[in-house]
Amino acid sequence: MVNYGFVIDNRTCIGCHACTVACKSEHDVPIGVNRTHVKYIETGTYPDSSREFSVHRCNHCEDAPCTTICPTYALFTREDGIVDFDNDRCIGCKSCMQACPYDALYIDPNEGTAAKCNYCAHRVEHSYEPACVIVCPTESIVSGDLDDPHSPISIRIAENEVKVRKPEDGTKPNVYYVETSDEMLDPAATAVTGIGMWTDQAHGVGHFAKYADSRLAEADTPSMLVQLALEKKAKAANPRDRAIIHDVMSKLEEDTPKATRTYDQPSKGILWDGEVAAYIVTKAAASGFYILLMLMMMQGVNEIEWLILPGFFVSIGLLGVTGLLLVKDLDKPGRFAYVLLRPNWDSWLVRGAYILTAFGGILGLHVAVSVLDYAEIWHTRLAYAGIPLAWMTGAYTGWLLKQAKGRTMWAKRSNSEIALSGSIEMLLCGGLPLLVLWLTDWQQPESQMIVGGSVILLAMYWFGFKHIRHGLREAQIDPLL
Amino acid sequence: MARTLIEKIAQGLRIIPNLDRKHTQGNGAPLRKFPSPEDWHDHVELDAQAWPEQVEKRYSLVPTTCFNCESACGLLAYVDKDSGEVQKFEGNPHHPGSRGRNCAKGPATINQIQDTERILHPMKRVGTRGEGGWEQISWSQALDEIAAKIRASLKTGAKDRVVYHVGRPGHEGYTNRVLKAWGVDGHNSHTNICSAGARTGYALWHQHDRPSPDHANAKVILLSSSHLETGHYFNPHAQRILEGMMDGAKLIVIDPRLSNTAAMADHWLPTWPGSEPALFLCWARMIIEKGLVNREFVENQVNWEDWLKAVHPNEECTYERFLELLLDEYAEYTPEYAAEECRIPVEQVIAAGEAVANSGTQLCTHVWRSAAIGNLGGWQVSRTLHFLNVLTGSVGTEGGTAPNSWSKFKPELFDVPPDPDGWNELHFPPEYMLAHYEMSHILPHLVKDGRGTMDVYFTRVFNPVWTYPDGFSWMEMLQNEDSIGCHIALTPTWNETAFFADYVLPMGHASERHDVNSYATSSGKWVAFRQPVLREYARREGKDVTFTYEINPGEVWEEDEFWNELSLRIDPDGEMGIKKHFESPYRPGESITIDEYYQYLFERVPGLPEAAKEEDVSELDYMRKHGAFMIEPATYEKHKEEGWPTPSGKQEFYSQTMIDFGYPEHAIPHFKVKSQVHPSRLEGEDEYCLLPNFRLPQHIHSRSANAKWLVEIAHRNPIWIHPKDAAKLGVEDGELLKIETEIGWFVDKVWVTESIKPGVVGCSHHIGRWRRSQDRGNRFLTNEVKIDDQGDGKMRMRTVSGVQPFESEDPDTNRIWWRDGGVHQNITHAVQPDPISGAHCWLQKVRLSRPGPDERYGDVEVDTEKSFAYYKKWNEMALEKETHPRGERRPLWMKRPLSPKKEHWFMPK
Repeated sequence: MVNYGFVIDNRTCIGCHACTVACKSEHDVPIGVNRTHVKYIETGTYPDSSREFSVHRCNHCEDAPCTTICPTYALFTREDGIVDFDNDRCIGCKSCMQACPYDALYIDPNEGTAAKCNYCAHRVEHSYEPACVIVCPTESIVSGDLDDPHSPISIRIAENEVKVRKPEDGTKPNVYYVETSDEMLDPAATAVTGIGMWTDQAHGVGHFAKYADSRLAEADTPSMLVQLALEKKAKAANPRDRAIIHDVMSKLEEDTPKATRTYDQPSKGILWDGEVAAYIVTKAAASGFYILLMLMMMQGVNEIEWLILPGFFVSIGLLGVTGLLLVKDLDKPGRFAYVLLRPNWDSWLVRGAYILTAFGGILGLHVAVSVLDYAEIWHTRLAYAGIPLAWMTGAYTGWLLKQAKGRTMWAKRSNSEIALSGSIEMLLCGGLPLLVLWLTDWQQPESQMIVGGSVILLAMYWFGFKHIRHGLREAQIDPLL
Repeated sequence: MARTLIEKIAQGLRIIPNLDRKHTQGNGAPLRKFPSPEDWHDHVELDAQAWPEQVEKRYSLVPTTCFNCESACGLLAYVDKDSGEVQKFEGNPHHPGSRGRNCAKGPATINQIQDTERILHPMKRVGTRGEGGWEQISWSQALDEIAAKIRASLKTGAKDRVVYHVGRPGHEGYTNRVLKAWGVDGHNSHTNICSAGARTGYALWHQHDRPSPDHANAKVILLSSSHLETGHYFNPHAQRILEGMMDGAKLIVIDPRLSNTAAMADHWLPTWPGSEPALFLCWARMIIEKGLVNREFVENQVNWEDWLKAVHPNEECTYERFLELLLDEYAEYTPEYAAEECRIPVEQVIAAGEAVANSGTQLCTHVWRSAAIGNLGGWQVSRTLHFLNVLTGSVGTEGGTAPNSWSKFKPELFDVPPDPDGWNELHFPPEYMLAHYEMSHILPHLVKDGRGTMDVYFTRVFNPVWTYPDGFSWMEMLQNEDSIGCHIALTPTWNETAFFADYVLPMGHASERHDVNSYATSSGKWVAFRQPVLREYARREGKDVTFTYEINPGEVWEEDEFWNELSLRIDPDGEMGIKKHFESPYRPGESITIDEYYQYLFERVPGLPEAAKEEDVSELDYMRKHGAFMIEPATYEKHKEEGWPTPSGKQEFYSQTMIDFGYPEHAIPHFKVKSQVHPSRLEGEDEYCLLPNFRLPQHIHSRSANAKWLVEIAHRNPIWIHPKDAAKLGVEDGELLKIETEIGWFVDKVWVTESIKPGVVGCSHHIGRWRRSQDRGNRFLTNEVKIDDQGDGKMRMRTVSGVQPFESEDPDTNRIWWRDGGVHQNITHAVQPDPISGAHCWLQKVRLSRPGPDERYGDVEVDTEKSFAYYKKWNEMALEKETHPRGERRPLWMKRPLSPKKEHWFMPK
């Protein structure tokens, strides 16, 4: 079998964008998003300044993180090395976009599904080279079989020094660059000047293109955070976001004052934002509440006995909200059931969905035990399964994020860090309210205290939500810059 | 296939749709580039959109040529056999110039075809000209009304009142033949804002007025241009430049701005604009000094003896003595002098000079627009550049630089009407004796000056209101019905000039028209066929089509048929002697058809009849099938058969013509004229040189605003400024700067970059397109503007809003993610006609400052009275020198497009 890859020969690439446009034409790619694009950077000071061009696209990685995280096998690696996709399977969860270290995927605004370079698999099927290869005026894009030592692509690799993008991510990319600089390959190595030489992004693309109708009057600020950072217009952002932007900007300036990015594809923005932050809170609340309730029940804390049945309903309600938020975050929400029914067991999205479902099932059984008046011991027995499931429900997102190899802040977190922060979230979101309920003297309730407590709790949820969203944004902004 | 048991069950229970499909793992066969032409009418390809479902789509592949720049690269239209529409464009592997490859503009042709705002029917203005009201009319009405106007004009006997003004020609001789048939000296072009400067310098040497470098075989490639991103002929040249470089050729690029081309160079020489002749003469001196002059070529092919005899009559007339005296003549052009003029390190002058001097007969040089069209005396750039080829003997050699006409095919047409019996002084005013092409950029000023008017004025793929300097003067002229009786815009897309027309007639894009092309893209000579692909598809399917507009979108037509039909309506009964020029060469007495026109032409292409015979098809059918034909793979050293078409019959180092026409100081290549932006002419700290004439690889001057994939790559044109200059002015990236020219000002954002020479600021003139609220079209790249006539010639343009998304059949129009549509800078440029070449000198002396409180991004102000006064100042330079030796209007041996009868080449007695 063959093993397809690309060589991008930067000795001859003239940055003409023919490949970009030929690809758009071949695949009818909407404006704002690209399967392949040419990045321009400028280095040095006059008169020793220079400009470099380089084609960036899917690397058809041997160990493609997008295929691991994809919950529905919408992305998959073929035997001939092509990482292809089937958009009929895609639910628009955007996890692949988080997992790809090369920012090679986008949400197709026509379909609401992920897409990327698929090596023109439909052309390869009839033995034609990809559209970008044949259009290139200087034949700087070489396709072919990497495993055949006599193929032109293998010879090009053998005869020249080649580099790949981000080898440290362990994805084993199959796009090889001849004569390129580290500044070109590493997105974090170029100082951001705010705008492109010839372009100026004013609105979101891809996933955000669906807001086209409403955005005429106002820019969607959360979605445009990256853009705000790019444009140094942080003043318009809210203070917390401004802080992130400031941090990122200063870090970038420290690291890389030498090169300037003068053309790149439009920023795709923050893909996991409010909905994801909110469901992390709601499921942590559901889990934490349940775990503590069960532990107290098993310890025989009598004062909470009245809370047991309502408590199950609280957790069920919170889980329900979690589910709704999860579905809402999908760009193809009608296909939410695919997560369970077309499962890729390697994906934490699938594992999480099953954990959530199982936990929901346990909660349902608890309710049944109560309603049917079964013996108390059944609650304890269910709790042996329910507590670990609840804990996993609260914590699994950490492992999902860890699978997002494109976001180093998440990917580098250790298992214990994930476990610890998950536990803290559960304790704060679910445990604390339970403790408040437990400690409240319900015989002589003081309305002031109830009101006060509720306000404090709501405020805590709000700040928790904001804190989590802040963290999500921070991790997503960094690599996008 | 279902990947898991769960999925299998869920699909089985129909909870979720069954997505089991034949998933391929590929066939592992070696990949090829193109299908064989034998299968072109029956090509099967899998649907990219449906993939991974394998849906077969059937195509008819029809070759044509791109119409976006002049290169006319080959395209292969994929006509979907189910919908009957073009699905996409790829390259045509049989095209000898482009060899199957294209730049971004090639595949983007489909955007232009599918543009939701394109003009689909003939339009006639309603209300006053320029007001913006339009009604749809029929082609028949348009033809009748326009024919009547032309007939009335011709009947007065005037030979200069019906004019065809062309932007992008894209054809060979078709319209000139029509104008000759009408008997008018009515051809005007865009050349003198484009290549007239370079042409003059080349023509002085050998009449041929364009270079054709053989990059692929060069040892040194010296570009005073940016051929790795733009220019004639970008894609074909870029291919061969890189081929040459991979073979070891060194690339030297001269440009005050780090172009993409300069970024690829071994030597980037950021010379001060206009100083290039100093550099080339210094290198010439180096070649002479080092004894590297190619004796065989210079001694035999150059008129050095004429110079010796005239200037050194007492010297011995030997080649050796010539070289000694030559070295004396050029003594002043030392590397130090060049370095000072160019403001680059002397080491750089020497290092690049060494490479040039040692290139032997493999020196490729090219200047097309850039410095040659930028500066007063810009023609000296090409004249001194070609001098390097002469000295190294690399003229017309393998790896050298040949005259372009050697590798350009001139078609033989079926009927050659007589030359026009008149001379159009609006195009060739007598004071511009050496102007290489029509003085088109001062047309509004000549008209304003009372030197003529027009009855019928065609602008064809031509947008001077936007592309030319001083657009407000164009608007003024076009709106004055006493100056222009009738203005007809022939254009595939709305543009700023069409807004001021009486008729807007939609003409086809690349795949919607007939043309024949041949360009000097390499050492080979080829001919290519641009054809309306749906018409060819219809023919393949056995359907009859009379006129191309029947199969094009809407009623989009093509000029070829339009001119034929119009001519027949001008002279329906033949009494004016026009009709007979439109009769079929195959069917006497009957009107010619488009197929006959091209059949006649292709029958006379050397070698094509034989090639057609081998495939057992007619010449026309051969071209319909293959789209292009290689006439001669290499055209080296043609002078050995043809000689040089100059008065001396040699390469004219010494030009008697320049002496005769009042410029004895320019008898031989020198650097006597300093640019209008020479440092000595800039006053004070805040005066800069504006470099406004560079292009981008993915745009076409006026016809890419409708191509969404191109526009999203580039949609704004900030002012490039060096960090030191930015600091001096106190501006940062993205902040505003006011740029004052001689006649007005504009406000633009700055782009602070190390890629430009300090003291020079740059701005691409591709972007800054506009429309008023009443105008239509091109909304991917047009700002909405408001134009205010403030009286006394003071005009103001203000950007009301940038680019905005809009609803249409194409969902992409609602996804436009940019707002910045750039600024129209050309409109603030004063005209600066070079007194010798006639070329507009694009570079502008500007003052930079921070804008005032009421001056906003995109604001433009121009005083057209000032611009007229400024024109007069420059016109004076030509008037002062006006002389007509032997009564000649211009040198009789030099070319003129659409030459009138020879008697008109003399001033009236």
